[in-house]
Amino acid sequence: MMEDAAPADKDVGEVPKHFGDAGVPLYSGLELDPQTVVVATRDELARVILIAGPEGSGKTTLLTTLYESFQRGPFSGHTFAGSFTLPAFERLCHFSRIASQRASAETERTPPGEQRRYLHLRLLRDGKERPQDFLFTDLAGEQFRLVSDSEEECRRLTVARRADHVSILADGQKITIADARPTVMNDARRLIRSLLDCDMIGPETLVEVIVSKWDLIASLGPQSDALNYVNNFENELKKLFSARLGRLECTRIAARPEGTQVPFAFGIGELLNLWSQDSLLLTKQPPEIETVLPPSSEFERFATRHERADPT
Amino acid sequence: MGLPATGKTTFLAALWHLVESGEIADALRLVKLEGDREYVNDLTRRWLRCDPMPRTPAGTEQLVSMRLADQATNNETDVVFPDLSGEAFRNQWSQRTWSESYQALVDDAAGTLLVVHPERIVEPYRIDEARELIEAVGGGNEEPADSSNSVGWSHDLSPTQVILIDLLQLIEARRTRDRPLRLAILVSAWDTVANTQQPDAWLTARLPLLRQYLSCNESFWSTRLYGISAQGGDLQQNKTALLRHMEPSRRLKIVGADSAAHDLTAPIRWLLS
Repeated sequence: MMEDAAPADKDVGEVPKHFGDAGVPLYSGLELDPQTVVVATRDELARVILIAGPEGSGKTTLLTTLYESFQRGPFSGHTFAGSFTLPAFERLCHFSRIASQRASAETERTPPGEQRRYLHLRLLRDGKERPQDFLFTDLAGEQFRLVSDSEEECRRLTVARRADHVSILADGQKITIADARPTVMNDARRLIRSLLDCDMIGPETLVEVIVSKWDLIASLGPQSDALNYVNNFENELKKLFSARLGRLECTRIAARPEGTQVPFAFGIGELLNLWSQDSLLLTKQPPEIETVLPPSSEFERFATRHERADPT
Repeated sequence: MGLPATGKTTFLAALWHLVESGEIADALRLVKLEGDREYVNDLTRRWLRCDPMPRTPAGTEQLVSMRLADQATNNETDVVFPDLSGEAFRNQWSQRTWSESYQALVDDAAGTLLVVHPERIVEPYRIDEARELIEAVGGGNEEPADSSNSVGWSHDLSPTQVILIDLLQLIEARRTRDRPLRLAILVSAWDTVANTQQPDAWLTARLPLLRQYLSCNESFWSTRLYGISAQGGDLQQNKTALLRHMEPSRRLKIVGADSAAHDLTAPIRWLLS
């Protein structure tokens, strides 16, 4: 670091003694809580992506793969512009890296928490002048079932109203198993129906139904029961819900495929392009993520600086 | 700034000799050194002998203050270099805190020198990438290793480019003065990099995430890249040849914008302009 050039005839002052001492706390780099999210991203009207799926369906792997895809360069027409949650991403990616000294890649299970948490990415899409903030949060495990089964629980999921995208994962591995197949896709259908009936999503919401671990289905061949089932079910979902939503897209991904027949991050680029398209929710004032604004903080200065640098 | 063992102190030692000796006509020239000069003199003696530089232990950082003159214009400027340990910067990443003194530097700085060493980069290698390489050379039939001895995550295992981005983001978030910063990235030990490569291309190839971040944040970071060799070569293999220079400043090498041969002050001149 170099301090400001002082006039040549002025003393530069005493030598500070304690560079190594701790004293000024910095933002943690862990997942963002709702308070910090609002302050950190207010100037950019962040895209909120709610990712839903049962345990093991690949929600966290989807996000870590998206993050990893930028480590080698721009990805799918987007350039990495920053993240407030780099340590959080690094922790989640660790067991898929050689540094973990594992024989096979693994994703740490997300422990249930009392407060909603967000991962953050700032990306610049080709052709755009300003980067876009993306906030990712998930609906997992027990809550995934409760929201589908209980109107009261469904109405508590207020983040769904703010979500630009609700992305629902269906576990491709379970689809390859005849006994489990009906449950997997029906869970996705029941969740969409519950959210619609409780007015938590609607004509401003963009929904993606994502079949994960697609490499396992693809390996069964082009005429497999699993593949036919997926094709049929995707058509059924579109018939049932497209008219009530902003859009319903069905996609297939293999974030971290086994073997080499399907490339790493298969389908993730297309999914990112869907997420970064213009939001229907932001054509009008979006509802706030429910929180109380904290006192002025480093995020507030950071957000204000970006606001001034790129006036709309 | 820079992570441990990237060459920050070697750069400082070489710089002190360069500006003090006046051996290179285009370089900034020392007018006056403020404060205790024992530290920089000791570093420079080691540098002149082509001895390896000692690591700067955390907690023993020094502030070096010089008045420098541009030999072309005779304009004089006071410049302050905090010689901070790499561990101090690593601790910012892992402990998420820094000192009040460093906060003052962040607020007052006109520019930032970031030193990276091409042989000290931690890459984000994935397990699936390693498997592909093994299969490509005909391996992969062995019993998989036991994963029960896997290593848990710690901040130190993170890729270099991720840590550097976060250090820059922390400065951007905490800087209270509303003024962008110039950032001169010095790729040290440039003599170990292929002759055909330029610093910009090196950054894109070796630290692509950092390259992306800087390209998207030009409203805050105005960046230039330089390849430097503050020793002039490998101390173990070329020490005899390095010691033969009648003017030791001619050991120095620099590649980058507006940089004359041997003039390690070129990045500083740009930061102050």
